[in-house]
Amino acid sequence: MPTKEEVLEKLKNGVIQYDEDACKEGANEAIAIGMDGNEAIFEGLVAGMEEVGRLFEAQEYFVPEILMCADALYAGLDILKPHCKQMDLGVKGAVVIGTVEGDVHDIGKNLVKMMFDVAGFTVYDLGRDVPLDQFVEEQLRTDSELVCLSAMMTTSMIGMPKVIEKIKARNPNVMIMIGGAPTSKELADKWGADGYAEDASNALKEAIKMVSFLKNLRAEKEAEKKG
Amino acid sequence: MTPREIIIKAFELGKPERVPVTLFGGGMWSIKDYGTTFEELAKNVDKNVDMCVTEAEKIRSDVVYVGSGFNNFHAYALTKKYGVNMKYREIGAPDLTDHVVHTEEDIAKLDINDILKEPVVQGIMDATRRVKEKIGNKYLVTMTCWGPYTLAARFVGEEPFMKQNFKKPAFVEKMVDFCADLLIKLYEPLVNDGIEALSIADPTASGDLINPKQMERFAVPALKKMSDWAKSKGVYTILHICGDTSDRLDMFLKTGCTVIFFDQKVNIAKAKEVLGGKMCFGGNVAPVHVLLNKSAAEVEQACKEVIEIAGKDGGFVLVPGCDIPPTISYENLKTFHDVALNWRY
Repeated sequence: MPTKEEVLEKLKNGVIQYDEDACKEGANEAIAIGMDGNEAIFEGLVAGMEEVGRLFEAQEYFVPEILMCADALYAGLDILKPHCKQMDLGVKGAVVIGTVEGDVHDIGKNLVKMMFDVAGFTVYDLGRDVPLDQFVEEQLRTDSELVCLSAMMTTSMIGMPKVIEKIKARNPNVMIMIGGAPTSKELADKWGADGYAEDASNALKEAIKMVSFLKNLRAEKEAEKKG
Repeated sequence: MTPREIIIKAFELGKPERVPVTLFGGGMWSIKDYGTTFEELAKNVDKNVDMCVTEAEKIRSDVVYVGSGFNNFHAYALTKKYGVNMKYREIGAPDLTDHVVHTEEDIAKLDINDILKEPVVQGIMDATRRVKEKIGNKYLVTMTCWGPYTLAARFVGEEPFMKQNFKKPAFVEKMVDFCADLLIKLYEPLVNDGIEALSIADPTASGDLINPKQMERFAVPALKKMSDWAKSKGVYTILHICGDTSDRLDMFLKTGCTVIFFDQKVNIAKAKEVLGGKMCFGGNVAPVHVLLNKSAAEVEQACKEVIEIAGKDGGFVLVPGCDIPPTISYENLKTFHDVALNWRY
């Protein structure tokens, strides 16, 4: 039987080296040695994705590599999810996410979705080229706390302020994140969004930051329990 | 000198009487300003011609692009027999409903001759000829297309295509090469009728998406194939690739294209260092941050800065860093053009 450290290392490296088989193997081993699914996800798969984020920032990895890493992460995640105990992180997470009408670019959106999946959020993925009113209706239907809007084109982002206005008019407490190459902090502020990520790398970075925060929170809770 | 002569002089690395200036594409802005839709233009060639001519005189770019926003029809023409449809929307260009090329066998099923049989493509080509007839002595008239790498991704689907860069590189090479042949097939009748330039947008080969090695292996050879063909016919190739390509500027020389219009993320001073005197280049006023969000005075300032840094020695074109949002004010668009139109060398 491998040790816990060996399993975590296998999961982490499986993600970094976009090796789906290694991630599946690591996930099965984690279950076999009785590890908590959350620990294997956060200390193994997410740790790997954190390194991938760093490699992206250093321009050693680009989008095709990240997509391969994401596949490897999901390969492990699918096996581990049924073995996760419910975490009490003080965050009730439900998010509506999609690429706005007129835009079929969904790579950045999918990467952000992946990190929400990892963090245990309930994700309502509307896909791409989503009619603007559908974001408003889905938020109301699901009572999600967060809505993420993505656009990669200067010509399609113009739908964003309309969605933000409609959602905020009905429920001012909903947090709205916008993302995609043509967006900026300035635009997010102007349109009344609560956050932004300019491209897939930044979106991934922001999402990793969020999940890393949860990871630390989890570690603190674990330490409190032990202490 | 006419606007056409001015930009051609810059293409040939000369210094014309003023700084050349153009949008890249501009279809959505023109459609909104003219008060029509993609769907209407797809069916009405007369209207498309009138829009291009009317907007050309209003915008005053040196280049007039016919078909901007219709590039997806090039993939549709070959895949509609396999169940792919086109979807028109309130916002954005018409797009494919599906991607049906997954294997080398699927490539073999595509018929390159279908590109010239699609009525919308025929309409855009017809409009290009007629716009050229009306204003081709004054402006450089071209028709737009996706670059071969981007077009290949449109057939396959962007995300699976990116993964195939690793999993099936031979498939990617074959598909991109097929797309170069397809585009040559598309332009051949137009070039024979006197169209002087190919306008190629290759956003999926973005510096923010793929690494320099992937660009060199998959995107560059097909662009070179197109530019070699264009040169053999005596026509120009206008190329735009999105994202920050500052780490691979020498790659543009390898494409053999006449001119590269840079994204706003590219360090234009560095671009001048690498390409100056070797290849015409254009750049790179931010379409959203500056043209959409700033005042006319700030637009003027930003345009002047770019010219000061990169444009004083000729072989340069003032362009936005990408296609422009349709919501940019006419005042800002006018100011952008005025800076170059009034800049005497």
